[in-house]
Amino acid sequence: MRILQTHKSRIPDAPATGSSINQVDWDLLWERFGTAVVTITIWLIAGLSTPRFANVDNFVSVLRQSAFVGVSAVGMTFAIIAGTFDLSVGSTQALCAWGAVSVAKVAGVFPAFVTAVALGGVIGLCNGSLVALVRIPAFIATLGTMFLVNGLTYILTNGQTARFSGKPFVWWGNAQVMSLPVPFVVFLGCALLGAAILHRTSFGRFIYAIGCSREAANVAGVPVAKTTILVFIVVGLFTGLGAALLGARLYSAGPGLEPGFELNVIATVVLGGTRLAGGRGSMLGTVAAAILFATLANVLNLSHVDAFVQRVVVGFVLLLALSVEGVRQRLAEYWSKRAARIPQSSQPL
Amino acid sequence: MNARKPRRHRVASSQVGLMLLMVAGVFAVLSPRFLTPGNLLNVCTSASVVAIVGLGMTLAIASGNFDLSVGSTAAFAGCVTVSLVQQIGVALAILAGLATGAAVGLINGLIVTELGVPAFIATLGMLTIVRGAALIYTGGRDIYLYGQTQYKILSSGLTPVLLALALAFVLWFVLQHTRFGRHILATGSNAMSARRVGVRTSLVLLGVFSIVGATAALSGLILSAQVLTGNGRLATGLELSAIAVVVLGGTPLTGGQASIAGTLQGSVLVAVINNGLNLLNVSIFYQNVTLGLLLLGTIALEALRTDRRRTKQLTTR
Amino acid sequence: MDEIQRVPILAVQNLSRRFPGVLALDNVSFDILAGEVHALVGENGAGKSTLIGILAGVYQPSAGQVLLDQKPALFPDPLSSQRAGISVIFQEFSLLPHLSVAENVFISREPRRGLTVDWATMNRQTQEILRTLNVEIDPATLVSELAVGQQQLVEIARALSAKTRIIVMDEPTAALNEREAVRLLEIVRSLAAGGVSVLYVSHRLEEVFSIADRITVLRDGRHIVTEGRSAITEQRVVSAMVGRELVHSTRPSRTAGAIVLETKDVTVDGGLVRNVSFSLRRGEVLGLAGLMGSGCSELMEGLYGLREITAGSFLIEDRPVRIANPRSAILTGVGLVPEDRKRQSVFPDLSVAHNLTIGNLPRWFRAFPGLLDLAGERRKTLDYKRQLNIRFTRPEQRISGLSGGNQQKVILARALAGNCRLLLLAEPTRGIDVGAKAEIYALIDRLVQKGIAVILQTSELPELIRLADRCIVFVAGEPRGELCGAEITQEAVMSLATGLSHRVTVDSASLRSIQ
Repeated sequence: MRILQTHKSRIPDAPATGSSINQVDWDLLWERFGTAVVTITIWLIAGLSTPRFANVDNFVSVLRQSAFVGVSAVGMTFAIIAGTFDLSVGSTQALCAWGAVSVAKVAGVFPAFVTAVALGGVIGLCNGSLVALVRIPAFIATLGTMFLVNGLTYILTNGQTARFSGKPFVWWGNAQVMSLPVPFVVFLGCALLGAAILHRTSFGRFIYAIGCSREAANVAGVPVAKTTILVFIVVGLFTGLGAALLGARLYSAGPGLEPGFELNVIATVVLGGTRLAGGRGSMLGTVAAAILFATLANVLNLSHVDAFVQRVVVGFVLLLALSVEGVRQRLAEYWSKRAARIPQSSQPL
Repeated sequence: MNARKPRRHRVASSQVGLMLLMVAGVFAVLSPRFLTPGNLLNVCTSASVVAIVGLGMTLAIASGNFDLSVGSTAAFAGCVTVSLVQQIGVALAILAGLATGAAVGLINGLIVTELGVPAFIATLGMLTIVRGAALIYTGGRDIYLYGQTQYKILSSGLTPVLLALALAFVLWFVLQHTRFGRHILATGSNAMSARRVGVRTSLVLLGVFSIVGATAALSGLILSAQVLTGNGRLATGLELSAIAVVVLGGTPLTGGQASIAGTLQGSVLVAVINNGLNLLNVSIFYQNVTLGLLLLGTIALEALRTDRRRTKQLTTR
Repeated sequence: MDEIQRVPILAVQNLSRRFPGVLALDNVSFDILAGEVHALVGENGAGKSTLIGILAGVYQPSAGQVLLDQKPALFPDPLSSQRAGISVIFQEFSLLPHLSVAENVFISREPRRGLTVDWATMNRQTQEILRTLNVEIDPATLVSELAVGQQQLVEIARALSAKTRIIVMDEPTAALNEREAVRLLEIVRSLAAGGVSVLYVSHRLEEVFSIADRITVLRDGRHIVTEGRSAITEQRVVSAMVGRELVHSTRPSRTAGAIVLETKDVTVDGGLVRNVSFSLRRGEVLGLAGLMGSGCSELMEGLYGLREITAGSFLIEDRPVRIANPRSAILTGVGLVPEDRKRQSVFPDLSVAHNLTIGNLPRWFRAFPGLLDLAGERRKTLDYKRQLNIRFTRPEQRISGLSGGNQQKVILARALAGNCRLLLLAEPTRGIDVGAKAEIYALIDRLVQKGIAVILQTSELPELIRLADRCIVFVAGEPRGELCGAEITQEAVMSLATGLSHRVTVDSASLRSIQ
């Protein structure tokens, strides 16, 4: 038996069996809590260096701002963990926000939110079907629907912005409950719901499995196509909800609402530690990253940094954060794969 | 010399060509103005702008990568050139603009090859940064070029068309007949294998990204010459149109294959549709819808076809 | 051998390579003579791949050196190793499917005329090289259009075109059928006769003994022995590989129960596998054997719903069933341990528990549909840990940290967790070391004793003989014959599988199934 044991520990398949048993998995900890730690650190630094940062009103504003990207990012987290992504959320947001504002004008708050969420869900269904049933790569499928929905929004709105500032509607974008901004509360609720789905339901388990290995998931009996469609629907639903909140916040919505929104959402999720290749990620990271981005914009604003410079800074932060992840992952892959055998080819995305 | 050249996989380009002819035919019938020389020149000019950056993108996709930063690069290079025309003259300014684009591309390449960041993410970050840089450079304002008609040459008459065709020829030649070109395809085909058989994939990718940057810059220059203005918001969304025309042209996203002719046809197809809809007084809003439908339709057909082919292979094995 | 040939063309001296947690190569020294076929053998994890990686310039040694013509040589990248005259043919090939044969042969050394690639010269030279190998392939063909055996010849042609002095071949017959394998061995011999040295890496001893001049054995990253072929016996090589004398456990006698599965004239995917009729009882192991492409894998995939069963009937416990996908297979009580662990079964980033339960999560449904009973899942995992003797610390641990054998046990547990009555095992011990192999055999024995019916598809004849009570041999998609109990011998299976009536001297290597 002793021979077996030594033999086993030498199998390069298991580089870490012996050593990591009692060690803390720093890799995993960083993945789970890294972004949260960074966000809190930035808050502390900003609080100390920028006097106007650390007051309640400003906090409220940061949190509110984080929600509009954040709600959609909750959905995108599902997609990216499942190893796919959705470029159409920007167009979807514009259409849903417009739908919400227009419906709010004639039918009230509840129908407005239902409209936005339903529109998002339908677009998600289209995306999901294209990816899962027609087997178009997600990149192209959602690029196509992005153009499609964008054009559709212009046609429906005739290029005009819808406006509505009825109290009950705009309450959702601007009010506070227990000194927390309503959109942020909704965002937190979505994130909690999302985390619960990811970790406590079979749907969530399927998502991780598909993101890890689509083929293995299929062999293991995971309903891959159904889950994929559902994932895109989830993205659409959350994007619709976020869009309604934004419409309420701005009292208005129209085509071209937030250019580059899809990229912001994806960036938020990836910054939150979710691996772009799928299979790993958490909701906490997404929440932290959304707040991080909002904080960054806020601090730069307070420091009177030019809006254009802000853009560059945000890009740099994104790139920096992502290179750290990339380099770390590359090292990890390097070691584990090299240890096992000459690596199989890994295609870039 | 070409007698035993490897057979290219017939990518979907013939299909695009057919679609192009049909669409053009329909518009020719529906609108008498479509076939007038002036209008055709318009179509070709707008096709050329997308085609030029699309050709660069074809290389990127053939090498198994993307570049999402081309729109920003185009804007930045346009601003740089326009601002320099007064000081160093048109020719040098154009060179400076192209160099700017190539430099941005090189940075993209370095991030991808040296930091190991996936191209999608790297160029996504650069999209934001370079756009910001362009806006900082111009202070968010327009830079006008009064009376610099020399610069206008870049966008007037047949220049854009000739540039696009020349570029297409050069890139086709590079891809088919030079070692660099073959190594681009090798890298896209299977990067790991290519590395193992001695292809310096990092160098290849640096080259590819630089070329993409330069082509993006050229598109940006033409756009800025059209209006004789440098504007940091120029060419927003160009990256997606560029990828769309490449995909329409039949270059597969999986890498290792490229269709230069397909990209050209894809660009013309998109330009024809946009122009035709314009002539028919269809709202400009429908352009995006058609582009989206076209993209999805082409890919869906292709996806279904490969699906069938795969099943057949299995049964004959 | 004359004096000149005694000179080692390549030598490794005190070579070590450390990876985090593993010493993959530990002070290894041996040499390769000019014009020699030198076999390098060892179990999985013995350090063969690492050594190849170092020679190929993919890894750097942590200590020690490589001597080329008795001078120290460094290979910081693949290119420098190739320039030094070493060509490595990896198991999974390094071909570029979208390029032509000629381009693959000459990649990174393309003949040029000015700036452009000189296609005419390249194609002509490729043709010449292919002719020396006695193959007729058009140099302008795309590599993706070639069969696996032809692709390997392209790899060899590449090595020859590079004026290679040393060719390293990593498990070259792994993907070949019998005829191709024999062909390859001939080519290797003729290469050596032409003065090229071949480092032939394999763990198939029949092959090695038919071809090698000298044999080097590695175990656990250490050099165990290097001997001339005539100076060493197969038995000694085996014990050097394993580290002890192999104890051959034998198949226990079993008593089969009621019929679990009955198939009649089953056809898979419209003819890939045809006319399969058999029945299987509780507590019985049915083996499927056949050469590569004979249809065993496809039949397994058909039974599990990964391929379509287009004709014939399929009864489980006398009830006709239709298995359309893996999900319905699991619900019917069919479990599969897939052939390719890395690709088809393990989720490396997920925990042991998640890997184990993914196949039948709904069984943890409680009051709310879809909600998981995490405590129950943990219990179940620990339960299987005890039952199957799986070694891991916590159910939350990532499965990628487990050894191959333990990963395979988790996959086995996954297959069993779905109230499994019929267990399909495809290559259950591929890539698993000897100790774990014996353990998995014992486990299978225990499961069978408990009344589970097993269908075993394996390319390793000893495994088939050790486990199967009955065995169906397939040829070209059709069952050719059935063997029972003691009738199952290497010779009997091979003669059925190859369609030859006389005793064949083919190695078990060629008895492989298509992926």
